[in-house]
Amino acid sequence: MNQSKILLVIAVSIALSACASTKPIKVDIENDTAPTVMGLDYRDFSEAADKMVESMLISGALDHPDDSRYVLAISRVINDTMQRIDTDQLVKKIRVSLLKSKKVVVTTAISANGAEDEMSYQARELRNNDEFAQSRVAGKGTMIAPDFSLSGKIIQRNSSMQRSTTQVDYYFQLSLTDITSGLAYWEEEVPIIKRGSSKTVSW
Amino acid sequence: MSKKYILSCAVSVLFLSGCVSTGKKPDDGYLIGNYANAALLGDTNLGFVDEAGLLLPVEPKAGSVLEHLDVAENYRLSGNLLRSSEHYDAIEYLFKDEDTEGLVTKAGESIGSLLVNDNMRSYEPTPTERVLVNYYKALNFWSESNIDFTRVEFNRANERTRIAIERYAEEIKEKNKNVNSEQLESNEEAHVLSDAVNSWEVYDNFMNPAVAFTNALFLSSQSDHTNADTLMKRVESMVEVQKPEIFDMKDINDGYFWVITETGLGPMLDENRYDIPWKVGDEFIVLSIALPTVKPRQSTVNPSTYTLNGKYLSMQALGSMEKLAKTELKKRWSGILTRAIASAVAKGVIQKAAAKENIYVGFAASLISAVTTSADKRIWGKTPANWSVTKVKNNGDNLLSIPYAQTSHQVSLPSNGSGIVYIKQPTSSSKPYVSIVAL
Repeated sequence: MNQSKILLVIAVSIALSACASTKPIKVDIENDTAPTVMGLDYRDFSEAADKMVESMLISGALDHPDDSRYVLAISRVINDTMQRIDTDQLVKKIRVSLLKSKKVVVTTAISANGAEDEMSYQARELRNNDEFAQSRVAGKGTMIAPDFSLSGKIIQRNSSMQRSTTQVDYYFQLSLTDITSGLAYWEEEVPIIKRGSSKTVSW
Repeated sequence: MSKKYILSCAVSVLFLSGCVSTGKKPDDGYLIGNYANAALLGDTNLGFVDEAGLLLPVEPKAGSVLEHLDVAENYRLSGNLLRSSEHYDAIEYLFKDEDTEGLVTKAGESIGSLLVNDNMRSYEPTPTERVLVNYYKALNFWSESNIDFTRVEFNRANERTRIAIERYAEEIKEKNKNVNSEQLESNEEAHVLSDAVNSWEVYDNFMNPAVAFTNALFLSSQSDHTNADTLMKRVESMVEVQKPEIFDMKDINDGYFWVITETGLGPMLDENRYDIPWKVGDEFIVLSIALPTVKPRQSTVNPSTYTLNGKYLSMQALGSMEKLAKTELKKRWSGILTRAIASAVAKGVIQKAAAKENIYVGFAASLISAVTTSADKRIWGKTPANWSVTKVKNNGDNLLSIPYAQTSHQVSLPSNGSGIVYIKQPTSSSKPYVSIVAL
């Protein structure tokens, strides 16, 4: 009798859990206690970006001699991981933080993939267009060339720790290059290491 | 519970489970190059086409890995790379499901495998098949100039190879620890059953030389020359190099085409079975063992008949799907053999108990045991038989001609720059799939 009752309880529990739905909730990104994932999530990008910006600012590479702001162009940030991520998730956070620091302004007129905002060039096509007040159209020689470029790589390396554990090493690497001299004035690497089940792949 | 009750349950399981389907209908569309129709048919069978004939979003369908693989590859060869990648993505999701199967499910499959055959287990794609999923996605994304995703997929393919090497090394260690010497009459029987497999010529590991070769070209095109050279050296160590210039990437920017071909039909699996009558006490039983073996399919395609500006291409062999299949089967052999012998013994015990009760029940149990004993012959049927490669100079005016059926497929190659010309032709009747990627 006891055995039958136990079996019935188990069967009902399984049936009920199969019907359970996950209600949507809004995540408090400042206090997210959800489990860590083996892939990269917004918390990792946030951590890496914060460390990168802190390192860049402390290094003094962005301290302009007359307290004005350097112009930064975004070059290639290569995704060398097994995750389908957009490296802009890292770069954008860094750009926002640098802008807030008042030491840097980013140009959207030039980047590794062409102009980030084509409007700078499209607006100039309005020259000699009688529909537009020419005094309001951007003149020649007004765009500012960048002083620095930001480039980098996100690398992933996996290794087996023990029989059932995989270690995933993510390395966020960035370089700040002086465009005039071609010299890297700042470089940093931020590792984010995770360990988890090796039952399946890390993506 | 009475012995009779247990026995009738066991015989019922054998009987009811004897209807496990193992065969697949041949895909005529793929064989004659009608890839788009074959893909649409596959999508319809999976339930991804609505009543109006419109394609529905692809979702991973549990238990349909092989069907997804077939549809994905047919879409790729028909040029619908987006839909192809969606199916390959769904397959990766199913891989993860298989990898993270719960203990209850695994236990159930093990019991089914023991009492019936390995076809009771959910299909577990081989390392080669898993790597090819990411490889074909890499080719899809590369054709679409999505360099970031191409790199990701090649990284995934490499990671799957690394996992496979480690996992099989672990499994072999575990199986050797757990082999019960009472399950084997003697080691000699096991050796006899393994003789053919032990004589197979195989690769040292699960790395697919064709995947590594293409990956090396990709890395070189992205100026990652160190890693590219390392990978290409590994490829050279795996194949019999007849044309060393093909493996030289120093001139990658000097206007060369690497023509990589996938030709023919990859192997299927067949079985070798052994039905051994055995007298146990006063009863006769039949010990049935069915073991898989690799069955190559005749290749009707010879890439050396392809011409460039009227001149035959001189191809270098790069990889063999038969050799890859044998490499994997050989690595998994001890596990397969152990399960097959354990299953034969378990069925033998049931037969003996049945025969003790009643001669007719015993006969029925022996018959059912023989009928249900079957090797797991499931394999992805859309792989090629061989990979080959050649390297030709871009002379500015290049016409590639690929014979098929009673005609030929003519492709004009770009007049400048370097590139990969990727060709897949399953049979001599099928129109070849050609993709050109700039390097």
